[in-house]
Amino acid sequence: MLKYTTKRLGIAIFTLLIIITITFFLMNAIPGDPFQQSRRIPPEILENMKAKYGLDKPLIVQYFKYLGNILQGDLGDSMYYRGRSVNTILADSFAVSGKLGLMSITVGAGLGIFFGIVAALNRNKFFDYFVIVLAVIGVSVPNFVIATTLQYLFASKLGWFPVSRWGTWQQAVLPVTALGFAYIAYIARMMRTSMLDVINQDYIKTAKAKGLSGTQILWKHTIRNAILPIVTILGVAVAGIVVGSLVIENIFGIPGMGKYFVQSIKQNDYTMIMGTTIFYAVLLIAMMFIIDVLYGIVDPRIRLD
Amino acid sequence: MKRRILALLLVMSLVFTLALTGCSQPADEPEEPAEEPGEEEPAEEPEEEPAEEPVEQVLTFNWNSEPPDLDPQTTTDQVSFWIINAVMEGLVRLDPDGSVGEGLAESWDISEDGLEYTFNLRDANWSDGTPVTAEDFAFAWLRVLNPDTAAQYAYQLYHIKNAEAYNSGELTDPSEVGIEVVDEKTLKVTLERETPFFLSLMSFITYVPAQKAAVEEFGEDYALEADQMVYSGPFVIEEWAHEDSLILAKNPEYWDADTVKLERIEGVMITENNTRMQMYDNGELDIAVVPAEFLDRYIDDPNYVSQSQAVTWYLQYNMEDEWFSNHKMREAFALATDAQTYVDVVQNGLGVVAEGHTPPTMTGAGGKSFGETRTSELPGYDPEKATQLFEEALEELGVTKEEFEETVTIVAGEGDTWSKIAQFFQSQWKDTLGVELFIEQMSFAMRLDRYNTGTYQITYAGWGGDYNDPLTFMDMWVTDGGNNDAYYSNPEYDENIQTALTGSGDERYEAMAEAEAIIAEDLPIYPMYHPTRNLVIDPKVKGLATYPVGADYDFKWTYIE
Repeated sequence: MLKYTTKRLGIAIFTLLIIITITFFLMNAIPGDPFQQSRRIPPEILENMKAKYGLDKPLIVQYFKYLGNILQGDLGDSMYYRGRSVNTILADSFAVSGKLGLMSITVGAGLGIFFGIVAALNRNKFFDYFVIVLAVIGVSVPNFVIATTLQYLFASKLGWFPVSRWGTWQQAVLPVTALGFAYIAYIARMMRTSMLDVINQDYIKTAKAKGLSGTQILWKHTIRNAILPIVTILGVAVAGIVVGSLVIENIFGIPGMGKYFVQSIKQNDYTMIMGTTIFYAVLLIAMMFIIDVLYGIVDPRIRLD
Repeated sequence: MKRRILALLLVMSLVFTLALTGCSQPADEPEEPAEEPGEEEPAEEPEEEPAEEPVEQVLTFNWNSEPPDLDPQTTTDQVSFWIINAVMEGLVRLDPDGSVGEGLAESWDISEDGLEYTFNLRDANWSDGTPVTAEDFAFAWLRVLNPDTAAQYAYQLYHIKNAEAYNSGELTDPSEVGIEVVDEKTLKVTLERETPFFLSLMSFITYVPAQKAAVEEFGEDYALEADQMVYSGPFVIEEWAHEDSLILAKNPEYWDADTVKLERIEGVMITENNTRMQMYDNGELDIAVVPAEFLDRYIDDPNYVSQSQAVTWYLQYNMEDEWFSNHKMREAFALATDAQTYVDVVQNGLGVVAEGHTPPTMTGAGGKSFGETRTSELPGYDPEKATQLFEEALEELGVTKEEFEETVTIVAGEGDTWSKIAQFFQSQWKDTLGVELFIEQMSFAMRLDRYNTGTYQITYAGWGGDYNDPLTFMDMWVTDGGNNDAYYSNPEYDENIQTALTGSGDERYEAMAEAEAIIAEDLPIYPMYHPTRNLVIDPKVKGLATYPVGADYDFKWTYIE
């Protein structure tokens, strides 16, 4: 396990370095600089600004300086939000997005797995069709449609929940539902298929033949095997959802992280582009590691060494 | 990562599509009165003292987004301007009618030659109770000009003597800059050249004072949080929850605090159009900007107002391009474009067809508006003449329609609104001139790059004024001007702009009207329209001052009825 972990850590750092390098140079290849505006900046002022942010130095110098700063855990100051450190911005917004994301994925995965199991056990009956319809809607209707519909119905018309903003549990209900809905559908569909697949396996027949009870078969053999693909996607899904959703956060006016991924690129906010990229990469690598470890627990056939 | 961003962008464009298509609700759908949550239990309310209950002086407002920079000396964006205009005051403040009124200066003297301004400061305090002095202004302005500050809007101060030299490092001694603290309450400013609009420029955010003690105490953290700033305006920032809300409270130390009636401005940061309008409908916002796609729903609303803005959008040609350097070619494309249809169809009627580059509401000669004194006329829509000119131009250039079509593209911005705009031009020119030009949509930074390198032929661009003088528009097209993306050059035009820069009185306005006529003749650009600002304002809100240029809103005189 230790050997495995060390190896994985080594690969992770190498992967991260490659991601940082590629992003850094690609980002600088985008035309323009962080200060571009429709009002043209006189050249001498532009020089002052570049000097202030160290952009007047050769790119390779900037690159190594940046690497040095990262080693000290400093992602630098945003070039768009003057004086605000990327560390603070990411920490503040991740606190919000992470909470929203975890709530959504909990709802999404919990209900999804449950629906999937029930649908598979009631194959071709009413509940199965219900789940299939739900899954088709959830997968094909984009989340902004769901979000605006929920907002219109439950906030504007019925007045049960606030239209927007973040902080109270009432304000969390609509965005969590909107964000989690697609996952309910996606995971339910996947779980159903996986369950049906497992149910038809020989080892289930064997279990039945040796006289295990239905519940025992279900818990010990069917679900445990069927849930494997869900665990696989869950790692990536969690990493994807906790860094926020631009669309959902915009619609509900939530001060989350989602927008920085897009906005920073549009604004050529170099430090922010690097910050969001590194943050997401680290999170993704960590999640994949956790999932690999989880595999070993869920599936005894897999040994980590 | 990349795919994620692509996906996000795709989703975003879908949102916009939805927002645009979602608006086509039947206009005659009866507006349901917003249900008041409290309405169900009226019986419980005690009926004592129904009148004379003073209304809460609280305004709910949408800042749209997090202000990127609230340091007045370095900021450049709209949201920060709104906020700073409420919490800071400069030497002058614009009156509700847009004219220059008193600010922290109670009077001023201008020397005969118009080069020396002496401002007499009133007894006013900072929000921490210390007096505002001339030193605070000199400190703030020199801070803007200090190259280490790297203030983007430093050039707004270049009218001051030696300001540019100091900012560019040519001069290192700040005492040579024409800013002099005569005594604690007197500030003398010497200008580089006569600048007739200098006084109105004193309301521009870059020129507001900064308390030296505060800037030195907070250093790099100045203006990053509500309590890391000292205020000189009608309000102070009470609470700033980044990316979520920014709340202003009345500043009791403000010199004219008796005039200020609002106790609080509760500002949120909602970006999404649909959410903003729902919040307005629910009574969670008192004022909301109506986006074009929501116009149908609000245009008949009694609370709907449409105001002029000092902004012009225009077709812009690259004058150094081999085809568009031809005058007939430019005229053909201008005549082939129906600005009225553009405003009606593409902008949902939210705007005024342009009669020139300068918006009509700017000041003009003889105390009239610039629009009233305009002498020139832009060529109007004339498809037949356009076709004829186009054929002639092609012949003069020795190029066939097919060759032309293959080499010319329309450079446009990204997003759905831009697609709609670009496609309008494309179809107009296809219908009238019979050429189908390829549309190139790109990010803002890339577009600027194309303009800077002169690698485009025809594009659509907009410009908003900085101060209330036609020069903020007209000086764009001088030879080698920093914003002259058309690469236009006409000595006669330059001469008129020089007169406008240095002249005085009506002579200046006449010179600029003359310059307008030259533009209308040469057509380096073809002005299309001036967009309007469209708001719904809850009728209980009174006295909101709005301006076509600068900070847009002023809450100093606003109150709740």
